[in-house]
Amino acid sequence: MLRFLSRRLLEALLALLFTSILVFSMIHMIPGDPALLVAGLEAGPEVVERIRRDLGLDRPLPIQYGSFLWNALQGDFGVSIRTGLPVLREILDRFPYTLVIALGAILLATAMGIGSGILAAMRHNRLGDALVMVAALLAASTPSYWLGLMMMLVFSLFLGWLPSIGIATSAHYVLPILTLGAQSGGIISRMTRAAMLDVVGQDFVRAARARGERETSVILRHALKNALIPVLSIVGLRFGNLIAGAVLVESVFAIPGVGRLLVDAVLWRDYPMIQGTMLFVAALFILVNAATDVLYAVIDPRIRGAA
Amino acid sequence: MSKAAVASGFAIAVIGVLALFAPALAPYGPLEQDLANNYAGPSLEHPFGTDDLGRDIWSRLLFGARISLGIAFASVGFALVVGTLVGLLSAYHGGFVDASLMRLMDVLLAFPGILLGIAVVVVLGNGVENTIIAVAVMSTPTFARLVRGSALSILERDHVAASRALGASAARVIFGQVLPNALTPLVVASTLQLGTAILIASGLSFLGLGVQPPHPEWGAMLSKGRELVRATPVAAFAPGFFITVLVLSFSLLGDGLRDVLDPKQRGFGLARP
Repeated sequence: MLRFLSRRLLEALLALLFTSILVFSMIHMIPGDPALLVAGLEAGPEVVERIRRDLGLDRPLPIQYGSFLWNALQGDFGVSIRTGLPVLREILDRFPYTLVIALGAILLATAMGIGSGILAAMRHNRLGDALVMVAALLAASTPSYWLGLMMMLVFSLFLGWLPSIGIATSAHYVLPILTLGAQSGGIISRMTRAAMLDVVGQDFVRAARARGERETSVILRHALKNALIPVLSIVGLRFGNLIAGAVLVESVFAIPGVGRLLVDAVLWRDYPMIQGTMLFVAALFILVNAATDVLYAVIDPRIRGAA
Repeated sequence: MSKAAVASGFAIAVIGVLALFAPALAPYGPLEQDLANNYAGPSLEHPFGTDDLGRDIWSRLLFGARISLGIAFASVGFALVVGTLVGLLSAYHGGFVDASLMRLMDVLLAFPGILLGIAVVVVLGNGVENTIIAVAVMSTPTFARLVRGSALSILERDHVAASRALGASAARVIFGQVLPNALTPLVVASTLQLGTAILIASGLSFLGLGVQPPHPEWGAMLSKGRELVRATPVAAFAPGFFITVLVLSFSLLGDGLRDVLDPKQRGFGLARP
């Protein structure tokens, strides 16, 4: 276990390191003078020179990267060109919105996905199975940016049940959470069904049936427990994806989360903010995935040897 | 092949034909404005109505199909070629070349697709060509990993060992023996990847980071439709509907092809988000 743990952590650290290199080099790959890019096009030459000196852009690249990494590790991602505020502070101000939507979406997706997946497996090759699978396929394949708009159209504009954009009240969270959770819900539903069908055919389930246990007990106590292991790992991996997917959903519903912060930073060419938000989202994604793998190994000892 | 896969292939073909003959089929030009007739509802002259500038939405959708399908095929084609070369090189050389190339691919795969797309746009800027590159960069690792995997198992086979023993050159072994035997999974993966490419490219354009207005790209049209959702809901509905149909169709077709060509592999029929 310890070997698996250290290996997986090392992998995550490596991925983080590569990500930081990628995010650092991004700004140097843009054609043009990085100091001018950071200063903004309206800045005078003395401001550009000061920024060049302040950021150490006159020093060799490896040294620049070293200080970029060192500062980032201490939570210093520089200062936003647009607002003049520290990048990390802005990110942390916005992150709660993204986190609430992503957590809501993963909870919803897990509950709906596992529930409907079990239902489909129990009604295998019957009408209920087909209906659930079609719904799951549609949920998983519809682009979030369109699904969100259509839900806004139906629930806000036609029916008037829910607010459309912004984040003033808790009712504002309903549509974004539904939109963001739909895709993962569809994927989890299909995974659960497949895993259940796989397990139901195995000997220990047949043995439980042969002992005359009731069908609900067979499904819930024996089959589900084993089928859930691969499903849980998908849930963790989806959570990482949801944080990245929030970029699109936040734009649909005009939610001031980290995703919207990133898109605005790109549109405004606010390079320190782009670097900060990218690093933040990517690091979350990597860490959540690593944590998922570790948890998976804790639950299912077979994984440790195989990895 | 399943009925769903056949229907999907048919849907893709229909949209492909519409795209191909857009100039002949579209009643208006994609940029043609008629300000006196803006926000028009669906009618005989304008089947999907008009937008804020009085442009015919149906004509824009037809021309948009060219851009969306064009970006998808160009980026997947690009990724297919580069990814295949990387995968073959990795498998044939092994050792340090293999390890470093695959590490690089892993890093790209470890990034969520849309984030990688945004990173490329930050460096290169927006526009049609850069959107193609962004989606291609995102798609390359999938092909590289796939080709490396099948190439490694093919290199183990007796007929390859025999031709190597007979002194066949690296190029001859790779292109004469390994590649032809690795084609089936590539066909399936390319089909699935086309759906993902449309999803990501339209997503970038929806965010304002991909293809720019006034080009009638579907994601960009949807972004406009979001603003017009109160005045003309069709403008928000139609582009996204076509995106969804294409994404779903490529997924189902890819799955159907896999069941026919490569029955050992089973998938969930989903585009990579």
